[in-house]
Amino acid sequence: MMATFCARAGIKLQALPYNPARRLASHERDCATGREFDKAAQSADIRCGPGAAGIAKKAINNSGFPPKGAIAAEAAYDITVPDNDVSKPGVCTAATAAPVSMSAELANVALATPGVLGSFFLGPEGRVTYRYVSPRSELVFGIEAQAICADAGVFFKRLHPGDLDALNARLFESARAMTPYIVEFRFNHPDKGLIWLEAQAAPLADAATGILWYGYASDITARKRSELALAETAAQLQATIDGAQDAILTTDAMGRIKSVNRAGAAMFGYEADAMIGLTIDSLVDSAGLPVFAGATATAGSSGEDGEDARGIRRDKVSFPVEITLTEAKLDHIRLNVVFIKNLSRQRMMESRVEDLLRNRLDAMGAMTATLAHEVNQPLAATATYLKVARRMLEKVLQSNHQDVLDVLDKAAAQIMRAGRIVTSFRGLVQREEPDKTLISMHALIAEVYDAFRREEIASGVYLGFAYRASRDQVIADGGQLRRVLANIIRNALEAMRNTEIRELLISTSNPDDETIRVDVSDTGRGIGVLEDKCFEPFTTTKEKGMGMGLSMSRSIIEAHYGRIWAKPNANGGTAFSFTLPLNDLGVEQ
Amino acid sequence: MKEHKVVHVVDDDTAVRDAVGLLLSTEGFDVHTYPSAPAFLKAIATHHQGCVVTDVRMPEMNGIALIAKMREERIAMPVIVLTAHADVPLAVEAMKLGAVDLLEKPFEDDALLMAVDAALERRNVEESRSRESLAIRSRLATLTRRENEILAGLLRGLSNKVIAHDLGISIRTAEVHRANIMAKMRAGNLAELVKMALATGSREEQSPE
Repeated sequence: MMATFCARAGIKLQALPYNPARRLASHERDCATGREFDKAAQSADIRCGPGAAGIAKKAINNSGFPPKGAIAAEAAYDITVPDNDVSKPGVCTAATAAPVSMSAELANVALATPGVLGSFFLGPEGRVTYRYVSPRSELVFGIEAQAICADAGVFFKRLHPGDLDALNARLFESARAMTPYIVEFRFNHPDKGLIWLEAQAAPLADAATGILWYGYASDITARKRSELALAETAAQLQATIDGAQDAILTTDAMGRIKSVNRAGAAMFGYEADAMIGLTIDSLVDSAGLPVFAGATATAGSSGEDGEDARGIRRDKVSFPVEITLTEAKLDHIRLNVVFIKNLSRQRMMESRVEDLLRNRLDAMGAMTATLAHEVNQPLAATATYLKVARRMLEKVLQSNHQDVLDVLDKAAAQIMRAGRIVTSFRGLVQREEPDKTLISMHALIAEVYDAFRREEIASGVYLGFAYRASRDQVIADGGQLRRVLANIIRNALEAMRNTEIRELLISTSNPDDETIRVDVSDTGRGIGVLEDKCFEPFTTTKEKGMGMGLSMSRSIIEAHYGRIWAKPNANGGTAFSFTLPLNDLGVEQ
Repeated sequence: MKEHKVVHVVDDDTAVRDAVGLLLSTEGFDVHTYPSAPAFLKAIATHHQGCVVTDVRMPEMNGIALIAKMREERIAMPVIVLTAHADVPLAVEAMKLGAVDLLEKPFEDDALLMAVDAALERRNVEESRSRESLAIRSRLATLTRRENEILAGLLRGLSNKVIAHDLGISIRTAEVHRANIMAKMRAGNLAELVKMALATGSREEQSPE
């Protein structure tokens, strides 16, 4: 077996990138006496192999173990015996250096090095035998060097059993290929308990032993601990990423996927590995994609707001997603971290809420229809009774009782008005198509204003007008527009009930050739909710409000292709504004 | 007193029935009231005289079904429909079935009295109708081809949306045309427009059979 190793080693030596022989050769050039050193080392018996115990023992015993931290003292101590034999040939011929004993130098190096130096070979039964172990062994391994040299078993029995097979495999591989033997393993230190060791050794062909390894072992417990802590952190991070509900991907600057978590693979219906290297735009509808494509530094600014887009599964089924793109910089490498949230469920919930809301409106519509019908019956009866009474009175009363007849007429007129209100309200809630005719906006405003005028002058509200629009013809359902205006004005008046200054200004303008804009601004206490929220159904800040008025107003304005909004006024109140398209004469015929 | 001017009032609402009856009898009509359509049909089984004022929404048999039944039984009495809500399909259906007028509750007393008078004096009705329809016809003549197409759709009770789709135009364009039709026909609302268009004597061509 050994012969085989040697034979192979011999063949391979030249070809290997790491060539111990060549390295040795260079060493020989540096130290002209390299070969002599080799011989000297052998003759000096610094080996602790079998049969050489005597002198080595003496040397090491003499040296004792170097006092901790006293490298100078160690260095002063010469363990090479007999040094005079090797002093002359074991000298580096550096120009300025005084003659130095090579053995002494190496021994000092061995003592000063934080790890353990040593050499070993594979014995006849494949058993490791140490030829030399430096004295630091006692500190690093907790075992005296000569004990290891005498029986490697004292060292190996302290190895973690779980690492033994790997160590052996590496050693045989090193012997076979003549490559460096580098291992990390756990070791049961007699004093310190479990520690981590790293050993590195280079194999060298050796006539006597087949292969001789020269190497170095050191305690890497501290490094290993931080490595393990790092690995643990990484594992926790990975677990977090894999446990996430959203897809988390990293891509390079060109949008090619470099990593994806479990949720991402499941979301898009791929095996995780199959996604690596795909570009992000094969997963996401590119229209909704934040600036990705460019490799420029401006692409995907950090923490960009989520953008709505559609994800595309492997089976081409698409689903709504929200994408958040974050740019990470590792040294000089740009890395995009992409978070993709599947919005299907959220969208489903939203549509369910919408359905509920619509059902509520539908139920209200049905209720209103019934109510309108039921209310119109007594209204019709009352109006008719009043008319009959008037007719009866007219026949018997003198002409100077015209005032009584007038009162009855007014009462009947109010009943008719109530009927119209009920009817238009029902049409609105049931979302019937608006009955649109040509309407003058200014005339309509004047009409609504008249209905309010009397009561508002009484309550101390100043009503102002500013008709700035030169064109005011719209195609609209007059009843519905009246309702919008009345609703806005009523809100404004209610908001001003307890304010000192009470001014209501209605103005119109033509912001462009196709639009009329109406503004109603008050000096009230404000609407008390967010301006765009007040148009949502069932939103109200009034004690007895249903929250339907503005929501209906918005429905009406939108059904007329307009826009309605609210803004706080500079002077504290609120301004409600809406726009409507002017009658487009071009379409008339 | 208008001894021979018989009016049958059919309404399930006691107050409305009573008030309408009171109004008509105050004005000298011979009024008979019925709480339901079957009750009315039973009462007039032998002699068909006068005109009918009926509510639409009633249990057992509604006003539209009553008109259909009278038509089927060849009971040739003019019918005025009172409704708490005159939506277009209802108005169109009632007029097509032969109702002479349709009033929305609450209604003006004069409007009802005129309608009843007109219904009872058939000849006068025909006259006034022909005079009125002459004016309406002349207004109809000013409608463009597109506007006529839209009017036809409205008379079939279709929504703007459906009409626009059928004609391949936008809803907004349909709305503009419709607003122009209203302006040309001098109709205040859609129900009026439908009434006018149906009153021009083109009823035969829109016969349900």
